[in-house]
Amino acid sequence: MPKLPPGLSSKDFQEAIRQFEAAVGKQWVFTSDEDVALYRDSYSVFLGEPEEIVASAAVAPDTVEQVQKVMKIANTFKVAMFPISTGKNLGYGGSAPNLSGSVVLDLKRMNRVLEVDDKRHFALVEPGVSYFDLYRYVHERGLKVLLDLPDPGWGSPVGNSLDHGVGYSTGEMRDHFGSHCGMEVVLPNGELIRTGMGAVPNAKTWQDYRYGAGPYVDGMFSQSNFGVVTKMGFWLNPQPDAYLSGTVTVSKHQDLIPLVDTLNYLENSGITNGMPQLGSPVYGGPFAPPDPELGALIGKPGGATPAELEQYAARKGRAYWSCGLQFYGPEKVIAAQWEYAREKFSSIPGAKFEEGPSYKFPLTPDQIEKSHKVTVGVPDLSIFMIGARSPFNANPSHGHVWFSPIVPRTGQAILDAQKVFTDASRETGLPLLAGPAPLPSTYYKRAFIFIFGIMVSTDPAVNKRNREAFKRVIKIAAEKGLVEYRTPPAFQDDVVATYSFNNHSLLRFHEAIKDAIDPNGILAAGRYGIWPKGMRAKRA
Amino acid sequence: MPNRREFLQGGIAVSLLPLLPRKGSSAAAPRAFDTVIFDQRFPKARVFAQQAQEAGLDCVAIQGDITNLYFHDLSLRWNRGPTTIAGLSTKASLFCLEMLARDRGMRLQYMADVLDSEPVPDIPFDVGDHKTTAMCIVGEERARLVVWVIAPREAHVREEGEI
Repeated sequence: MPKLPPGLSSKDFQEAIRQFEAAVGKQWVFTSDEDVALYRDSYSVFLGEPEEIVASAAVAPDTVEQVQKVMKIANTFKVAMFPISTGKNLGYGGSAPNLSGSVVLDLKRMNRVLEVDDKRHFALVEPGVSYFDLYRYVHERGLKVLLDLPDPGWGSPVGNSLDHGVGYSTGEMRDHFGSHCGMEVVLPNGELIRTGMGAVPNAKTWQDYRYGAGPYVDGMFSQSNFGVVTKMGFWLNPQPDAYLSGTVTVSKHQDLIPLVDTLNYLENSGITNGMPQLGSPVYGGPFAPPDPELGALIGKPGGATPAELEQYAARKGRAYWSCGLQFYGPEKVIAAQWEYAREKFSSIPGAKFEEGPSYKFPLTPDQIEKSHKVTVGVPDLSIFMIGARSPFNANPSHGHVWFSPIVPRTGQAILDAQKVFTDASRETGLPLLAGPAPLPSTYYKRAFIFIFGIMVSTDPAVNKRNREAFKRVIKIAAEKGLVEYRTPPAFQDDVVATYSFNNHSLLRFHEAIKDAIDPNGILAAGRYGIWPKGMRAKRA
Repeated sequence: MPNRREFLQGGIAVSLLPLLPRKGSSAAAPRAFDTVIFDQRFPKARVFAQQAQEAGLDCVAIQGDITNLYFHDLSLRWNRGPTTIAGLSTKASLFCLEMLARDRGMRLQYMADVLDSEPVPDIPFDVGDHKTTAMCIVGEERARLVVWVIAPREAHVREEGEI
C-alpha cells in the first residue's frame, strides 16, 4: 500500500491519480509498490529505516503540455510533486524526493535531443536525455563537438547541471550549469516560460546569448523548487584537433603553494585548458599496497611531520606533490602551451615533468579504451567498478553519500582544509574516505571541491551514527568557512543553514520567492532547505 | 512449475537448463534468454557461460565494467523493446545494468548470491511467466557475486479505485 502525499485524503489522491492518468496515459502513472520502489534512493542514509524518504507514486509525462497538465492537477489537489530527469544523482539523493509521500514527476520519457549545432557549438535537449543519448546523437552524425561529461555518464545534462555538476574537460564547460544557455520551464502553476532569448518569438539566439533583457533568472531553477525545467541549452566544446597531457611533480611539502599558484595562473590565462588533477605521490596513490614504514609515520601520535614525509619520499624516490595537466587544441598550440607550462613550473626548485598520453581527434576505439574516457568526451560507467569485488578485492564497499566542501584555490587552503577534515574525522569518528591527505577531487575553474565518500551501511545503527557525525562535520567545516556545494536531501537543511549571512537573509529571500510562485507549496518541498510556508515550523 | 514466490517459500531448486533452448532444437524457445552476461574474471562465471553456450545461448563477456556492453549492444536492442537477459557478475555490474534496464521497461526478476564455497544456484525463473515480484537493488553492495535475470516488466495497470 503506497504512502499518501502529505495532507491528502485517500479519496483525493485517487482522484488526482485518475486525472494524472487522463493527462499522460494510464500506463505512465505508477502506483504499485513494485514500481514506486524503483524511486528509492539506492544510496539512502536511512536504508531500511522508517525515516527513509519514499515516494507515493510516479507520473511520467512525454511532452511539455503533459507536464503543464500534471502541475495544474497537482495544484488542484495540492499534491506534493518531485521532478527528476533521469534520477541518477547517486550519492546526492538519487531519484527520491525530499518529502516522503511526494509523487515523482519522472521526465525520462522526454528524451529528445532537439538540436546539436557543431558550427555554433551548442545543444538543446530535454531532461530525459542522458549523456549516452547525447553522445550517440553526436557520434552517429559525425558532429564536430566534444561533450563535457560527469563520471559516471548515465545521468542527464539537464539534471546534472541543475544540481551544479562538474565535468572533466575545459574550464568553461566543466561547470555544467555555467555552460548552459537558455531554459524552458513549467512553473508550479503550470505556466510555461522560456528564459533569455527564448522569450523572443523569432529570435535565433536562444542558445547563443544567455541574458535577454531584464533580470537573469536561470539560477533560480538550479538546486531549487521554483519550476520544472523541460528544455535546456548547453554550450559545447568544438572538437579539438588534439589532446595532450603531462604531469608536474615537486619534492617539498611547501611546494604545494607555488604549484597551485602557477596552476591558477596558467588555467586562468587559458594556457592550460583541461581539468587539472593534484596528487600526493608521497602516499603511494589510492590503490597502493600499505607500506608499514609509511603507516608507522602517519600513525604515530601527532602524525608525520612534513620534514619526515619529505625524507620518506626522498628515500622511496617519490615526489611529494603532483599536478596533472590537460590541453585541448591544435597540436602545435598545445605543444607550445605544455612547453610554456613547464617553463612556469620550473620556477619551483626541483620540479620534474613527464609527458602523458596524447591523441588526435577523433580517437580510435583502442585509444578510447586506454584513455580516461570522460576526458576525451566519451561517457563511461567504469567508475562503478572502482572498489568493486574483483579477484584482487574480495571485500569491497557498499553505496555512499558525498560530503563535498568548496575550498579556495590555493595551496595553503588545501593544507588548512586537510587539517580541518582530518581533525573533524577524528573528533566525530566519521570515516572521511580520502586518504591521509585529501586533495581536491573536482575542479571548478575558480574553486576546488573536496569530495569525501561516506559509506552507507546495511546496519541502521552505523548509518544513524554517521548521519549525526556528518551533520557535526558540516558545522565544524562551516566554522572555518568550508561549506558544501551539493548534498543529499538528508543534509540539505543543515548545509543551507551554514549559508547564514545576515540572519539567513538568502534563505528568507528564497522562501519569499517560493511563497510567491508556489503558494500551495507543491513542488519539491524542502529541496535545498526551501520549504513551503506551512512546513517551515517543522524544519525549525 | 512453481512461480518465484512459491519457489522462495518452498525452497525448490529448478535447473536453469530446462528453461533454455537446446542447440539444434527446432522448437520455439519462448523462455530463452536473449543474452547471457558473465564476468570472465571469475571461474564460476566462466563455467556458467560455458553451460549457457552449450545450451545454445549467446554469451557476452565483461570484466566488471558494462559501458561497452550497454552502449554498443544492450541499448540498441532495448531501443527495439525490452529483452530478457541473465548473468553472473558482481553486484556492482548488475547494479548498473538494473538501473539502465528499469528505464527501458525491464525489472530485475531474480537474483541470488554466488558463494565461493557453494555451487552456483540454479535460476528458478520461468521466463514465460512474468508474474513475479520484481526487485530493485537498494544499496550497491559491491561485495557480492550474483546470478540474476532481468526481464520485461509486467505492466501493472491500476484498477479503478485502487491506489
